[in-house]
Amino acid sequence: MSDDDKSRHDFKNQLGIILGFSEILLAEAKVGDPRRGDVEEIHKAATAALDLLARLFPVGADTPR
Amino acid sequence: MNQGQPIAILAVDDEPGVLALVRRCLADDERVTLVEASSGKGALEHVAKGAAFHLLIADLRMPDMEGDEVARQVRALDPDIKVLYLTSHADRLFDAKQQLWADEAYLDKPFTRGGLREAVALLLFGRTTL
Repeated sequence: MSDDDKSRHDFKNQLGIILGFSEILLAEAKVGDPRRGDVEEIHKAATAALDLLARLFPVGADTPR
Repeated sequence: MNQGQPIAILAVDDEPGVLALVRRCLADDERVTLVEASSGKGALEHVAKGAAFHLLIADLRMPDMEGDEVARQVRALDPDIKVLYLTSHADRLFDAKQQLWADEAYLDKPFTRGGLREAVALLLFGRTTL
């Protein structure tokens, strides 16, 4: 694995952890829980970061810019 | 195997947060016994000690050993074990691994609790619910 691949893999791993746990919290949050909106923002931001990662550093690109 | 019986799972990933997520997704099921390893070598040590598992969940790319090499060595000791690979880029999966064997599947990261549980259920029971 190249250094770029490893960086992409590691970064995606971290986003996956944020997404995975926030998805679980959202699934378990009771209706009316005031923290639900906060977790939704975390989930949205992590999803956006994942999209950004895919656009900026697509798999197969030799050198992320 | 039957759905009611105990399920022994060995999970290996060099990223502690991914292991924590796997634990969160599966360990609240009282049938599941989850053993975790942070390296391929660590996973092999569990199997070499004689521990029996129904399923190996393995990160495909780890610093000390690729996940499919871990699976190959685990299978030498336990031919019946099923394997679920976690991969960050499924479109490159087959660069590293030419084919999936029977009783193997992969799940792309990031994964959801539902996705992981469904993949585990499909491998172990041939149905989508644990």
